Amino acid sequence: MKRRKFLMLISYLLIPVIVAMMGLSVLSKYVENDENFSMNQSQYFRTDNFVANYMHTLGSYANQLIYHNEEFPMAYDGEIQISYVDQEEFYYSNKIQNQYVLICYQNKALTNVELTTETNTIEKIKNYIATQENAKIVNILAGNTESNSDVISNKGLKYYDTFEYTYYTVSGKENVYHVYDEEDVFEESATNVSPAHQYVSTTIQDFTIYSSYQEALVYRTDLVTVREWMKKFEPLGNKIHLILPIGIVVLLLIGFYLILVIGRTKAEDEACLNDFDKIPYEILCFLAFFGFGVCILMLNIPKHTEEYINMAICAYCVAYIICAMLFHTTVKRIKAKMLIKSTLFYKCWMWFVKIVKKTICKLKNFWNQSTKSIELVKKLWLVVIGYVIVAVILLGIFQEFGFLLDLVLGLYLFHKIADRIRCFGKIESHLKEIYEGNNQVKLKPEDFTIEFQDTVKYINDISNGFENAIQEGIKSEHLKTELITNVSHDIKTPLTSIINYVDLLRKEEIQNDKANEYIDVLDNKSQRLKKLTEDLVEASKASSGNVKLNMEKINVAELIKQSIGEFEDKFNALNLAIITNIPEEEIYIQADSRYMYRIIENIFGNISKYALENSRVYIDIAKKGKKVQMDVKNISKEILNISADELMQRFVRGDKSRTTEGSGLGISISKSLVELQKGKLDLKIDGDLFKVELIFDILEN
Amino acid sequence: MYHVLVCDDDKEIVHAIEIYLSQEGYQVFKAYNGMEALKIVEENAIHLMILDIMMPKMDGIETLENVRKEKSIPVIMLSAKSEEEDKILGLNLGADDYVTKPFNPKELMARVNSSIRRYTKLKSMTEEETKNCYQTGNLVVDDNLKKVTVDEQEIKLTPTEYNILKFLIRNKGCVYSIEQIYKNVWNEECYGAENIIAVHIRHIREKIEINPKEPQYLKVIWGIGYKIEKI
Repeated sequence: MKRRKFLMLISYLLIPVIVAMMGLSVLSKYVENDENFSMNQSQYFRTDNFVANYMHTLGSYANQLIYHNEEFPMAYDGEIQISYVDQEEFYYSNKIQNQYVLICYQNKALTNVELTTETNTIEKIKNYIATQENAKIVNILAGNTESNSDVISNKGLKYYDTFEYTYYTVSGKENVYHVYDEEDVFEESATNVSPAHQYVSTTIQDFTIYSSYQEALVYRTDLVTVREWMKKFEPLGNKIHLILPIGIVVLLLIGFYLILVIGRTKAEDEACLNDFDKIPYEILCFLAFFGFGVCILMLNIPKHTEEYINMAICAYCVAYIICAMLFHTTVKRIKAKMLIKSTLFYKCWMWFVKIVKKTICKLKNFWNQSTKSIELVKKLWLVVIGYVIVAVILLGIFQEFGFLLDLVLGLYLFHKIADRIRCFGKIESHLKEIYEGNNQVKLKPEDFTIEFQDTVKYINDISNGFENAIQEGIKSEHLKTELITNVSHDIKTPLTSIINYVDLLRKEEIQNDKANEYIDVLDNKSQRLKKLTEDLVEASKASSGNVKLNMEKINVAELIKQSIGEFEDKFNALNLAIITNIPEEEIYIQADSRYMYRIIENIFGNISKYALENSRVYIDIAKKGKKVQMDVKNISKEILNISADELMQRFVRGDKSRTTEGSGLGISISKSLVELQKGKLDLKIDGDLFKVELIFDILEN
Repeated sequence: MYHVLVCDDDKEIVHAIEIYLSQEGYQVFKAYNGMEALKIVEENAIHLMILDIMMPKMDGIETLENVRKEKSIPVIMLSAKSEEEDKILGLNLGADDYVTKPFNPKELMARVNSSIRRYTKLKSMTEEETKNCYQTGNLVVDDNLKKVTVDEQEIKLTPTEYNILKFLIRNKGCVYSIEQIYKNVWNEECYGAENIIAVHIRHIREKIEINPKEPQYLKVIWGIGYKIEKI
């Protein structure tokens, strides 16, 4: 981790060094090749270039005199009005020092010689100029030059004015210079002046110019210090063929390394951003540009001073640091896929999008809320009336095409209305499901239009309420079953002792009749208690569904025959005739065989307890569509002044005195067991006729 | 004299069982929790255990597991829990029988006798199944002598009952419906006389079973048929 940071730092430090080396090597080479740089002072003052520059200065003075002279302080010499212009104003890049000029044109004159009492006439100024030390005197009268300098003498200065454009021509030894402005100097052969430059409207030739200058120019440009300094790096320039390729390769390598490494921290693939990387990217760019501006400003000092080099180095460093930071954060942001996201524009855009979305949402809600309260029928009327009006208007505006629009609009509205009608359908079918006892399925509010949201909520709440009530019921039923089971276990242990000791007592062969009778009662009642506890547990389990079913394929006829076989003796004892009506065809049902026998056992047990002696018992099995019905009919020995519904409740028995054996749970247990096996048990009482109906689904194959 | 260990936390029940067992001629050892029972089993030659399930300190299930690690003596579980799952759990853990409270003393004694006989005599009997002699558990049908014995006691059956039992035990483990039994025993189609078979089978059960309502040998598969259990 630390090594990586160190390497990165080294890379960042290496880059400016390499770039500087490359730059200096190129520049020192360039400096070496610059002809003008190596040219010395005296040489320059022999060239046409100097002439052009010198003449150009004079031309500028002339221009000034003709067009702008009234701005300057004036002196009068007879008719002639003398203007003064500050010398500095005409301090051009040729840096000709101590150049004095007096230009006369008609009754105007312009000079850069300060107007004092010593120099307030043309003659005095002429003298002043002529008496300058070391001066090369130049007199230009009407475009012809006379000078004590060979270079300048016999040169022509012509001034042209095309009204949109002024320029002057200096004809030198060999060449003609067309001077448009400071920079724009065209050189042409003297013998071949291009016709374009002869297109002039006015040629003003009647200047009288007196001028002097000193050959005091040391170097032509002010980059002297820089160039001197650059010379130190000549050895680098000599190895430019090595430095450039090696530098480029090293820079590329460092660049690749940095791109790879930047932003990698602990987690390998996660680019890690710090606070700096969260500054909006545009702001950084702007700051960077500002920084570059500062650097440029730093260089805006005279170039021939020593400070300039220091400043240049400073500016270079600052600019590099800015570049490096910008590069670093840019690479990081790209790696973290944050470059666009970190821009202010993106943030603004997202903010804008958010606002727009929010507004749309609010508007939608407002629309929904305000339309929700309107009654559906009223809404329908509004829609129909609105549609008719819009349709007529559309037809009026677009004619045939309007008809098509009407059709589309109509279909759209029809679709919207159909949606609402569909909601009614959904609600109806859902209510039917709840009615049938399926509370599991809930309505989804998103399937319904805004008008039905409340209705859907109410229906779901109601169905939840039902569901909870049912769950509560099941839970409490389970608790009850558990309680009953536990209690019955606790009863059974003492009961065991009672039964055992009653039995032991009986074996004692007591000779007392009464005692024997009491023992019989004890025996009888303890057996009854045993049966009662067992039935109680079974009933509560069956009714709460706390029973494990082992479903099998069962032959109904076989079951009935087996059961009759079991009860044959008991029926015979009462002299009951069993009349069965069992179809030839074998009928199968899906049920738990043990519990099926428990059911039949209960029914037959009841017959053996309550049926009238010497009567007949009818057992019918009949196929009814996809169901099989088993009917057991018998004649009651007692009057049945009780309803079938009452009989099916727990602890209710046909004889209200409750003297006979039985717990009163038999039918209740049977009913629960039948229902657990998806069957149906019905009791029917018609006078003395007692009928049990058992209905089960037939198992196909 | 066989040694029987009775283990129940209810002292009166233990006492009552002791009386019954003594009348049958067994020597009784008494324990009131699982720990005591294990100690007695270790120290004495016990031939049969009657074990309650719900007891303090160590319950019957745990005791049974510990006993079964070393001994294969018959164990009759005794419990107030009458649910099917409890019975299956007890039997799966290696109990030989399961009696629910409150129990019929006669039935308990019959089961004790049966288990003891099976435990002590089984080995000599297993290879006795020869020609025309059929056996399952302690039920033997000897077709040569036309004799049926349960726990070595002869059972008197009518010829019809004998034929039905012989047919079922010859095909022990298979379930036969009333019609199939009729056809196989009488060799003719049955018309309406099916109830007779069911009655006969109940009679057979009453004669050979300790508790006809919870048969050990001749089982009723309600709605399907009857079978002799393969033991």
